[in-house]
Amino acid sequence: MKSAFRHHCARAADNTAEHAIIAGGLRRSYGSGDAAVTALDGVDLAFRRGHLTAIMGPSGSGKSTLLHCLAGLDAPDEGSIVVGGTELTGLRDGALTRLRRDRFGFVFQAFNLLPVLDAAANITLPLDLAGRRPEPGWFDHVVDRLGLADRLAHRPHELSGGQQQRVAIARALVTRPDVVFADEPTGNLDSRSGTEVLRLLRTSARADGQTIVLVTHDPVAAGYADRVVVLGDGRVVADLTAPTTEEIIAVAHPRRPA
Amino acid sequence: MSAWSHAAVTQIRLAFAQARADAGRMIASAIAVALGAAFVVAAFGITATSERAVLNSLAQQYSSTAVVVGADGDAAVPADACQKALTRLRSGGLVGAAVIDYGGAVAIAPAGQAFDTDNSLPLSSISPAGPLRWERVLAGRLPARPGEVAVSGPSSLSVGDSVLAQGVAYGNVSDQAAGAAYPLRVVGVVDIQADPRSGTGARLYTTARQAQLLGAAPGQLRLAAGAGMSEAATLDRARRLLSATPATAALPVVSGEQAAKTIMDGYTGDTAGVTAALLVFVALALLTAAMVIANTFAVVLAQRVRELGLLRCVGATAKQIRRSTLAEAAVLGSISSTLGALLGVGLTVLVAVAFGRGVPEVPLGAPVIPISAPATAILAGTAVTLVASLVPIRAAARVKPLAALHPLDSAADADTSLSRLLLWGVLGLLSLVGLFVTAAADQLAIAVIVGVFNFCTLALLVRLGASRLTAAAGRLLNRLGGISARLATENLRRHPRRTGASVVALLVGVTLTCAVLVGVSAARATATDSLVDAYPFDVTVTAGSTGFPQDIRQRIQGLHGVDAVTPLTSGHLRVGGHEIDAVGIDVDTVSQVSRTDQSVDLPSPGHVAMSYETADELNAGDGTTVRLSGDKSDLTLAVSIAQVPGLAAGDIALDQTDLNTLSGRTSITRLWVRLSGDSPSDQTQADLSAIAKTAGSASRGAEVTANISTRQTLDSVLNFLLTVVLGLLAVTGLIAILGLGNTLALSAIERSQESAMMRALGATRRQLAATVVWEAIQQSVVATALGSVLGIVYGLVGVRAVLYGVRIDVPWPRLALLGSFAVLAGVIAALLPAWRTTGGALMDRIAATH
Repeated sequence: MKSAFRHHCARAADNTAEHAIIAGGLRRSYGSGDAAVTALDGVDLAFRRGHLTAIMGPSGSGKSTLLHCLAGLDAPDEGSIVVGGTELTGLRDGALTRLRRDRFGFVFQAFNLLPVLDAAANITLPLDLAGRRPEPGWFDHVVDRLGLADRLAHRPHELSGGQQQRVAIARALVTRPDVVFADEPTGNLDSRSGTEVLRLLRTSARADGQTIVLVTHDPVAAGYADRVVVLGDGRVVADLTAPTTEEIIAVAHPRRPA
Repeated sequence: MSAWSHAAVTQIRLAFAQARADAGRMIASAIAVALGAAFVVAAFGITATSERAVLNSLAQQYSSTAVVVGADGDAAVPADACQKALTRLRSGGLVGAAVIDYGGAVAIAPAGQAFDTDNSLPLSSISPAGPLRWERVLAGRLPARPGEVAVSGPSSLSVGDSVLAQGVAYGNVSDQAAGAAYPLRVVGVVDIQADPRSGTGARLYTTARQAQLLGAAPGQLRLAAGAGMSEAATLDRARRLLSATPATAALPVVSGEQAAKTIMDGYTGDTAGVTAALLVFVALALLTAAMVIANTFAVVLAQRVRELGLLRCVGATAKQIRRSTLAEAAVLGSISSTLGALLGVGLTVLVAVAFGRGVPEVPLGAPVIPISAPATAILAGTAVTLVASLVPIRAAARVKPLAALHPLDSAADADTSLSRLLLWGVLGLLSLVGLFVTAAADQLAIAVIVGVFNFCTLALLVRLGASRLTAAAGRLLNRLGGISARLATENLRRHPRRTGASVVALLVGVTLTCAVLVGVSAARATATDSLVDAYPFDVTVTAGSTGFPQDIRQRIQGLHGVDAVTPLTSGHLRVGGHEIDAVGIDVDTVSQVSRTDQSVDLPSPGHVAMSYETADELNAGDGTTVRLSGDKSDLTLAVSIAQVPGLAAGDIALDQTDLNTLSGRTSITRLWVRLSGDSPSDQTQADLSAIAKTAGSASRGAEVTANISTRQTLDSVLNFLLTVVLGLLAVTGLIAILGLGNTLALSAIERSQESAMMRALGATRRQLAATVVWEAIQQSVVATALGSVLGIVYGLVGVRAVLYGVRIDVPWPRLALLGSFAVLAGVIAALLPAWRTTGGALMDRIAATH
């Protein structure tokens, strides 16, 4: 009994060391009565540090709800989410806000940047909100890696879509967060800019050990991931490690039997 | 139904639907219009109500009077003219009741105290019982015999009190008591209703006999129609009788109705100025409301740009869009100004009732609201809404159909170019110089026009440059506010026109309030100075017939609130064949009691001071000598022509030592007293009555004249004026603050997706709210700073143009208070929008970003 408990603790410690974020038994439904929709129906997932994980699934499969719950933007009805040893569910708004600011980075599909701030100010916005200064070396590193050095003084409307997304990624990386959440980051981009954005995300995972959770419905985008989780009707229906695009298509878009 | 009318119906339906859908966003505009409309109705309603009350009161006083003789404005009636006219009318067969009304003024002294000549009361004779008696009692009864008196209005006297009264001849600043003192007993309180001639002060009524004894003069003769004779026939016969006799031919003869109307017209002449001033404030309030409306429409229509594009996509013409948005403005304007007009009616009724209950001395009677007031309010409110919305509506109608398909343009509008700002700046500067020049040249009318033009150009300059100014204010303030303040600055820069409109609306209120504060303060300082120069002593105490005992100086000096006392002595001297009263002044001690820093004309040793007239009478002139003889010795002194303050005409003044050399029978007849403290306070009246008591007990019939009371009266008049003007300006300020809050709220709604994104990135609710509050602070700081500077300049120029020898006294504490209040009001206006920014489910808005 005693040894089993110790074993359990050891595994949990091991898990926290190895995983940036651990979710268990997540359930979330919207509405009530006939209009009730179950978006998450018992999801257990752990995301390894330094990995780029893609979450896929058709519309309504619950992938956006999962991302919002994991990122503390929405609260699950049931289940637990642990980030770096902190239980997320049940935190008050203030604590959750600080957690998002200090531990998470975000890249959205659109409306990513504040139009009134230039690129540099947009990148340092989370630090400014926290009242912290950027680490000079790291800021330059991120800006260089994303190729934004000559775009820092531009306002968002002076940047192309791809450049805007690169600024958003730089903003997500500059705080050295535990996890970067990217919600359809290539949805609004042409394929060349999209590819560039995905490469940059993968590089920051591989070279800097950044944990990234990417939500996408594009099998090509998912092909850049170390792992692909496929959702369907609020449950995990497939969990693939370093799959090829063909494998992903086979699982995520199975041809209907004739 | 024709195609055209069907389209029109569709448009009107769309306008109503839009107005309903955007009701929340339009609510501030609606309130602004409603406030303006309510202001119009209340201003005209209250004026009309008070005029009606006055007319009713006057009509009552002249209700049974057929003929009024000798009431022609302010022209004096010869002393016995009324009596002669009465004799003539009686002999001519006019036998109706008649009365001669006497009017005068008395100083009163509670038993054993000195007379208070500063607070003399108007005195009227009471009409004898009969058709001509209009006086009604509120309490007690009317005086029936000499020695009885009734009061009206607010006074410290109540039924049963006994006082000593003495007739008073009006002087320019202080009054002189004259004649014998009579004991009077208060027997009743008269209901005067709303006679404008009595003002809001107290008035005394006594019998005609007693009034005459107290120096009251006959003012008019009133005659009622006799039995069997109409009022018109009585008037006609009276006219013929009086014009036939030389002694009475010059007397004006009018009907009672006409006499009431003449007084009413004089009063209306006064109210015409008040009405004109009210109109200026009404116009200001409506102008500010127009700015709020224009801004709201611009913002709401900008937010509706996709919708408008969609309408264009499905085939709406630009003209149809313009029409339906104009219809929306008409719906908004007419509904809210109608509600505002109702509010104004309610306000008028409330004021009339409140006056009736709270200030029975000035009853307003039933509220009167001329139908033109609400009609004007609704028309003006709707017109202002329509005109103000025109520019934003034209811009909205230019929306391209493609706008429906594009995401909202998030790029900031460009700031106004520096060259354009420079152009307006030069124009503003030139007109400011023009203002200085015309004001210095005493061209008041032109200066007013140039001033208005100058303010318009400067307001436009501020409007165009507001976003640059808030950015500059931001650079100074943002150290305190961190990222929230920085974002606020950038948000304000995003919409320079919105920022400009909010700032200018606030600027108008702050500038005018400041100008009024500075103007009134300078006027107060200047008037106080000239009062002090003419009457440099706080209190003058004059002995009764017996003179004061020698220790009077010490007794007064020992009283609370007394700073210094200088006694003046009197003696009789002879110059040539003339008997003359001389006053001895201890010149060295005068500086201790004098308030003025100007030199007071006083006789130095070896000199005798007298007026030009007195010198003329004594065949002397400035620099010549006269030989004065007293009971002790004779002296030859040099004459200096001078106006010694407080010296009676015909008296001469000399140094006290010289007077003592001449006469051994001098007595202290007067004291000049300086009170401690520089300005009148609540304690002053108590100190004055202590002086009056001491003086009254030392010399029966002593008088106390306090120039400090005149200053106090001036202060209270100016304070009342200030309160009224600030109250009227407050409407404008309220509307401006409302507009500021509304624009902040609308901009915050517009940014809701950005706010949601920031919340995701870790912005706290407090940080988001702080951004909105900082926007308010930056705008109100700019408006307040510029408004204060402009207000001080306008206030000073204004008071310079109106008054001579202005002493500038900028009321810094009040201005600081105003400034803090304006900024605080801005912050309060921001609280609701700030709170709303942070509310709502985060997820819904994140979802909206997809």
